[in-house]
Amino acid sequence: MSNIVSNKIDPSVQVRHFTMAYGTHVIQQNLNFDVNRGDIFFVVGGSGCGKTTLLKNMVGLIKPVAGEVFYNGISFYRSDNVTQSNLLKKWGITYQSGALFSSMTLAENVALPIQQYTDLTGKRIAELVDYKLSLVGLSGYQAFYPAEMSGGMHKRAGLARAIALDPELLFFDEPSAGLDPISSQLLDELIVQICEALGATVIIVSHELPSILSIGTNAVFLDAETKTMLDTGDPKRLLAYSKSDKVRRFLSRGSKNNNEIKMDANNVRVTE
Amino acid sequence: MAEPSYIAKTEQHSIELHLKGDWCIEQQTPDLLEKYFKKSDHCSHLYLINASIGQWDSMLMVFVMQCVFWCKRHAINLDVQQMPPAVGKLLAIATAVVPYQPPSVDSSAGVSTWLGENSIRKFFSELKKFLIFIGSLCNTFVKLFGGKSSARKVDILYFIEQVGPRGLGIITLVSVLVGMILAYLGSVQLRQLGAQIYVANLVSIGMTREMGPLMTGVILAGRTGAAYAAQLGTMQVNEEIDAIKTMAMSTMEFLVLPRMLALVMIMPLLCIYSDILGMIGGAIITTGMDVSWTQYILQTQHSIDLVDFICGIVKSLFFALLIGIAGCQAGLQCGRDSTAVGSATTSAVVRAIVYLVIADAAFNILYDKMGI
Repeated sequence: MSNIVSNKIDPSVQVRHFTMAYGTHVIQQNLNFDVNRGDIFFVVGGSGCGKTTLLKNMVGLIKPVAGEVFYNGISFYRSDNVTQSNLLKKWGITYQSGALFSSMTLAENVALPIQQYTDLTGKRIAELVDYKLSLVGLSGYQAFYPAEMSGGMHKRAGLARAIALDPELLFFDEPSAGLDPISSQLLDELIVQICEALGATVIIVSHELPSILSIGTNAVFLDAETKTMLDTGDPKRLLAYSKSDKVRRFLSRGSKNNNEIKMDANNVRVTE
Repeated sequence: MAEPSYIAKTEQHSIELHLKGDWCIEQQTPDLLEKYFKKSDHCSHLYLINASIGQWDSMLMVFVMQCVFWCKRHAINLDVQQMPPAVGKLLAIATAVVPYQPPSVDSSAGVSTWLGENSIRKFFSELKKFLIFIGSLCNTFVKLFGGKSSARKVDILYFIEQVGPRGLGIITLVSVLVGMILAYLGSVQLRQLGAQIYVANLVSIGMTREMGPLMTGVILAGRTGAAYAAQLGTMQVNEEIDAIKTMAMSTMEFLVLPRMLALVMIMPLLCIYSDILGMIGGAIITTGMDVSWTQYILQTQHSIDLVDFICGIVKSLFFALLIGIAGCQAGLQCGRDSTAVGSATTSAVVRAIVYLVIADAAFNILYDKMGI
C-alpha cells in the first residue's frame, strides 16, 4: 500500500500518497504517515511549507489533489456526507485565531456543540461549560463577547470549544503561538492530560521545539524545498537517528542550552 | 453501560463518596446533593473514592467540580487521590487559575433613562461624528484641489470601474422598468381625457427631475454604499486601517477620497443614462397606445429642456456625496468583529436611503421656491 509502513499497531489516522496544491501550485506531495491512537502528533516544518494546508486537507476543508486519509480505517474522501459528518462530530479543531462566533458570548460559544449533539439539561451544560473554561483558565469570562477578549484568550476559548464534547481526535493549528511561555506550558500539560484521561489522539501543527520534544510522541517533518516529507516518527528518536540531516539539525536546535545561540546562516556560534 | 451513581459514607471527621458506573455524557449523571449524606460539625475531609468507575469523560469532572465548590463553601478539604490519576491532574489544571470576577455593573438606569437621556445622547454623539466626518472630508477635498493629496490614481480608476461599468446592467434594467411604470401610471389617467400624448411629458419630466437621480441613488446605495462599508469594515477587522494610521497616512485621503471621487464623478453620468433609458421605456409603452414614435419624441423634446436635466444632475451629485459619506463613515466606525461588519453594512444602506429621501424633499422645495 505504501512504501512507508508503520511497525506500530492500531493507527487512528493514516495518510497515504497525499498531494496538496492550490491550483497548479503544488504545496506538498506524496505524504505518507500514520498517527497512532493516543499519539501527540506534531506536524513540523518551516513557515510556508504547508503545515496548515495539510491540516485543512485532512479535515476536509480543502480537497487534496491526490491521495487519501483514513480515520479508523475509513476513507474520508470516499465516504458519503453522513459518514463524514459523523467523523467530524468526534473531532475537535482549533484554529489559529480561535474562530469564535462573534455574535455569541464565550459560554454560548462553548455550549454550542454540546447543545447541538447531546440532550443534557441547561444546568448541566452550564456546569460542563464552566469546567471546560476553567480547564483553559478562562473561568469567570462566561458572559464576555469575543470582541472584549485578547488574542491569547481567543485561542484558549477556541480550545475550550474544541474539547467541549471530549473528542477522540483533536487538531490544533499553532496552539501556542501568541501565548506566553507559562500559558503555553500549561497548554502542553493540558493536552497531555486530555490524551491520557480520555484516550484522545492529538494532531498539532507547530514549530515550538520545546513542545515538540517534551510532549510529542510522533511527528512528521515537512520540507518546503523538496515539497515532501523528510521523516516521520518519535521526535526524541529522530533527534538522534533521523535519516534526514535537516530533521536532526532542526530538532537539535531545540535541545540546545538557552545561553548557546547558534546562527544558522554563517555558522557563527556565540557562547556566553 | 452501567448507570453512574455514588454512595455516601459519613464518618466522624470525613465523608466518603464511593463512585461507580460509567460517568459518560450519554448517561444521566447525578448531582452532588446534601440529602444523600449528613455533614457533621467536625467534618474536615471529603474523600472521592473510585469504587468501580468504568468509562468516564468530562461528566465525571463536572461532578468533581461540584464537590470542589461544595468543599470551598464549607471549608472542607477535598481528596481525589483514590480516583483515577488523570482526575487529579485535570483538577489541578482546572483550579490552577483563580476565576475572574467581573466588576458588577450598575444597572439601575430605568426605562425613562434609556428612552430619554441615552437616546438623546446617542443622537448628539452620532451628529457629532457625522459633522466631524464631513469636516475632515472637506479638509481632504481642499488638500486635493491644492494638489497635495496622496490618494492613489489607480485606486480612483478601480473604484470608477466598480461604480460605473459594472453597475450599468442593473441600472439599465431598473431605469427602463421605472420609465414603463411611469408611462402606465400616466396613461391610465390621461386616456380618460384622450390626452395619451401627455404621457411623454410625464415620463420625461418624471425621469429627469425625480426618478432618474433617485433610482440611481437607491441602486448605488445598495450596490456601492454597502460595498464601501463592508470593505472598510473588513479592513478594520483585519487591522489594515490601523496599519494605515500608523504609517502616518490619512484614512480619509487613502481610503475615503478615491471612493468618494469615483461616486461623485460617475453618479451624474449614470443619472443621465438612466433618464434616457427611462424615456425609452416610457416610449415602448406609450407607442403601444395610439401614439407614434415621432409624436412621442417631438412631445418629449417640447416638454423638457436643459434645466430639467440640470436639476436632476445637481440632485444626483449631492446624492453621490451622501451615499459615499454614509458608506465610508459606517465602514470606518465599524467594530472589530464579523457581526460589526454586518451592522455597518446595514447602517450604510439605511442611512444612505434616509439621506436620499430627505435631500430629495429638500431639493424639491428649493426648486419650487426658485421657480425652476
